[in-house]
Amino acid sequence: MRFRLLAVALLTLLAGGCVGVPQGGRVLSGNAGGTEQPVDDPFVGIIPVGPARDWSPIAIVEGFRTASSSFDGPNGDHQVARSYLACVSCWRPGVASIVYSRLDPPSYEQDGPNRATVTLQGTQLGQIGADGQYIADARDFKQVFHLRQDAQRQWRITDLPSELLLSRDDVTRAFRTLDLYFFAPDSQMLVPNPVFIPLVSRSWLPTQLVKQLIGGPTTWLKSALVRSAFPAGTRLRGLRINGGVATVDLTRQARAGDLNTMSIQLMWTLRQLREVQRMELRIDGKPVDVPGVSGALQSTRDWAAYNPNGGGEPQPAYVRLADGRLGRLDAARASAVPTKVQAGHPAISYDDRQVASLNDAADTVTVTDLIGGAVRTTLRANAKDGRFTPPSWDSRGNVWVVESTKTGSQLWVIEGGTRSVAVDGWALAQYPVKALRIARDGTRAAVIVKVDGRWQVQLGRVDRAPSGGLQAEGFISISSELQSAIDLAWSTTDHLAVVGMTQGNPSPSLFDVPVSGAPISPMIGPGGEITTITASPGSPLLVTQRISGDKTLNVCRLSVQYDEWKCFNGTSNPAYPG
Amino acid sequence: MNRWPTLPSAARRGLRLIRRYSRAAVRRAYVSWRRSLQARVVTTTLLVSGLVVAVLGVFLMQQITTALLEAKERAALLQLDEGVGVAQGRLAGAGTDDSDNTKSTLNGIVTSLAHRSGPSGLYEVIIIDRDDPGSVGFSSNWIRLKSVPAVLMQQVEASDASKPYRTYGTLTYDDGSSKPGLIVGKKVSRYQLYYLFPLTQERQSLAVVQQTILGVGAALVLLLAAIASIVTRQVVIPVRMAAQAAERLAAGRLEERMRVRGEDDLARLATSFNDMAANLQEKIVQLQELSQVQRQFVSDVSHELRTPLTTVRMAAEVLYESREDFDPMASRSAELLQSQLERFDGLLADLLEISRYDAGAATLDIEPMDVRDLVLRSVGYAEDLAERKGSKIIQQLPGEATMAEVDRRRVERILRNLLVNAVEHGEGKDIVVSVAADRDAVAIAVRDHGCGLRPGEANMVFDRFWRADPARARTTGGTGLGLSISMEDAQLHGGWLQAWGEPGQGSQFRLSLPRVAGAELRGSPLPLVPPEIELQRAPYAELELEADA
Repeated sequence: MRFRLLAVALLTLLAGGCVGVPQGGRVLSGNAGGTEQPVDDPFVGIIPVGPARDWSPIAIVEGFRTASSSFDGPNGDHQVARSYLACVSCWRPGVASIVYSRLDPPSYEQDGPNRATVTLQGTQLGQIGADGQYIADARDFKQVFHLRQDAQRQWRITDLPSELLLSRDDVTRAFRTLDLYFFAPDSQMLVPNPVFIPLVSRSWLPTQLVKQLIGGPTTWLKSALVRSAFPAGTRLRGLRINGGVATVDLTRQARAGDLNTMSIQLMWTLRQLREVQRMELRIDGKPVDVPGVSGALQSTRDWAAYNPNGGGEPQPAYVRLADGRLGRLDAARASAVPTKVQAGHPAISYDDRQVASLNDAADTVTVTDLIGGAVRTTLRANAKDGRFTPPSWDSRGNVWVVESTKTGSQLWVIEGGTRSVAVDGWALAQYPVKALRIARDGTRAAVIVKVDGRWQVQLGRVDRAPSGGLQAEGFISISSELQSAIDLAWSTTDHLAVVGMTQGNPSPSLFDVPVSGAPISPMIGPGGEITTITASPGSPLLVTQRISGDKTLNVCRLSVQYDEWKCFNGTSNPAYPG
Repeated sequence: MNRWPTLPSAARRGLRLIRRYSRAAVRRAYVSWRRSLQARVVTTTLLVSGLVVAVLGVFLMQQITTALLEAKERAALLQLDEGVGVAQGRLAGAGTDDSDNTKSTLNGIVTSLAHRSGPSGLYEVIIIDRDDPGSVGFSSNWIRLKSVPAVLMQQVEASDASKPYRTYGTLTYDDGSSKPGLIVGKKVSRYQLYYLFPLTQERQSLAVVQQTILGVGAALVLLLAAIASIVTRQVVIPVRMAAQAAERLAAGRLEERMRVRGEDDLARLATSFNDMAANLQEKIVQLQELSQVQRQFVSDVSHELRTPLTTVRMAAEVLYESREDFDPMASRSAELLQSQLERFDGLLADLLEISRYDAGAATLDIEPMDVRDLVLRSVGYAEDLAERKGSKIIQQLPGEATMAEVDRRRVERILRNLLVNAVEHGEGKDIVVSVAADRDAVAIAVRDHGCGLRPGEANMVFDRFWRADPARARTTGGTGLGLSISMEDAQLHGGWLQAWGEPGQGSQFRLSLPRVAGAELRGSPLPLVPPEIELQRAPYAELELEADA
């Protein structure tokens, strides 16, 4: 009896211990607990190799060009590419590069018994400056390499251009475009400063980002007198990212700075990295208490008021109705606002109280109160054939508008919506301008300007000249890919939505254009001919569309969830505040 | 200054202490290994089960590792096949005439394959293009080319396109970190595609399994040892109890028995032990009763003989008185009858005395006495006999009184017996009686210079009816019980009676008695071997040695 019991118990134990995976059971939820790969996209790098024996000078230069597109080595100093050089340590390239679109076969010249010159020629799209700023500049370029045979009769490069020569793919592969955030000169708004940072290693990128932030804005943005909270001499002691928390350790010079503003700049800059959710600020190794932050860890939520894109909530949209009145665009339909307001190319102030609009001839700008309809001021064109571009508001309540003729242009600002001033320092006075939009921060202006017979998208600074007057200057082209542009709008603080044409596609379509100079990406449009566009962070894109063969204009709205357009018949000239 | 020399000495002391403790521990362990069955069984179980668990653990670990890695390899090869499909599709759709175009295509392939790896970093991708100067291809996530072992690369390069290869290696990254990995590779037209799977997860799983096996193994070994300890305890405790019982039995406690519990083997042992003890007790009691009966019989016989003997003696007395009236033959017979009757009487008296001892009925009548007086009186008794034999009794007595608490009658009897014995065996030579005393004891030695005792006879002389020469007729003197009675007398006093003798050297008997009745005797004031013999021995030995040389 006892043995039988024992046997049963043993059998039960054996059956219970048998290997098996569950084939059913409860439904559970759970987190993976941290991602293994913090960078959102997998990084793909080229594997560079040094020169083989007895390569020709052309092969050496070609090999060098390929190898130098890799930022290998501990600090991204092109360790492998240096093996093509006669003097390994003499070359200090940095990130300054020429981005080419076309490269001719290299030409080769024998200069002597063991000297040679190889010339690379082609067409460039633009250049990345030593500070990471990209400037689109489509033109031909020429790079000259001098080579010499060394003691082992191997060709090595002795003299070379200071810029790297990179294809567009190389740039996309080896760089990330990230914004450094600085404060606008006279307001507490953050201005993005897009820079190209090479992806040397996973940990190198955040460190380099913070280093560049502390180092200050690029030369281009520095002229806009943006402010940085970091006191002079501050350096980064260390940056560690662990479990979504970035620990930023600054040298003791940072004690002199304002902890709040430093934290705001750091937080909004670091938040672009997916692996960073929160930040801990340390100075000289010791955690500091930042006023307004509970606890040692801060997140973007603590500084939501400083969001460079504003609150991000949907803005009210306005349109010009078929009868010429100003209307409001709701989810389903457009309805006229109670006040009778002239509504040609309307622009609504950020506080939603005033509207600036053009008359049908586009030679008069009128600023009207949205409630009550009182006309604040009227600006008439100076020149006989002067036509105004659609007006644009900045966040301080100024209206910016360009009066453009066939041969030149003049920038006007209506300060506070009441006092019109001609801006003296308008750098594009020689060129006709089709559109101007001031960024939300008021320090940057995106324009469509006709240069060399081509309507280009350019970005300029708006600041005060040393004399005290306003000026708009420092215009740079941000994309060589757009052949021509019709209208543009700020979709976020560092992206433009542009109606334009690319090479080989003459019909206007929609593009997302990063102001950093990174590649543009097309967006699906509503079809038909698009004439105007407006955008606002967190709000759906609005365009004016005309079906070919039909004279009516329609405003179409992009659904937030899907790539689906909804059109409102008979409306035109949409506008968000700004 | 002073501290330096003290430090090493302190260290030495500490070292010595440690050594002493460890030596003591080893000794304790050895002792318990020798003495305790339980310790031995538990230690053996620990060792053997530890060995078995270790072997099992290693085997189990190997099996699990193999299973895990085989699953990983299969998954890896499937992934590689899928990746090769993607790469072939892209390569077919793109022109590879231009170096930049090729690079762009390969870049796209690696990017899309690395995208499939997902956020958990399932694998890294390397594609190798030998035809491009300045680079050998593309890699994902900063993995270094040297992560692909050269052997694998040669295999893949030399293979035809349909065959995948795999191997294990170390994945190294540009930031210097490295982890173990599985590397699979295949040729795609003129390129080589490698998938590198980090084995971090597998290593973690194996570490968990290993820890579990280690923990379970240790627990198992300890558990087995505990079980062995409990089991041996169940066996050892009854055995120990049996040993105790046997010890007590041996010490004479015949009523000692073991407790019987249950019906197992140990219960059987206890039962048979108890049977044995019972039998022994029965036999011993029987024997005791038997000897009692015999002693009673001897005593009764002696008593019963006495009455007729008295009558016979009285009759013989009469005959002896009037012997001169008989003819010489009858006269001689009457004399013989008389002397033998006296002997018979003595014999009976001795037998009665002995039987009294055997019955345990002998008692001491103690009074403080001067031992010298006793000696003088005994010598007086024996002097006649000595003169007849031609011996002279020399007395060596201490000057002062030598008091002791003794039974006068018994001690005198001992001394008389010894002296008569000495005279009878003295062969007419001198007899020396010496007395000595110390704080606790007195000793009387009687020395004769007769034929002596053969080796071994010194103990036998005290046996009942023992004779040095069996052939010699029991004509003279003693009854053969004198020395036995003397021995009993001495023992009744708590004293010793010892004999020494050597052939040709004579013999010496020594009586040692405690001065206070009931005190324990620790030593004797006189030597057992006469001093002159003791002194002779050593020179003789030397002489013999010299003669040998």
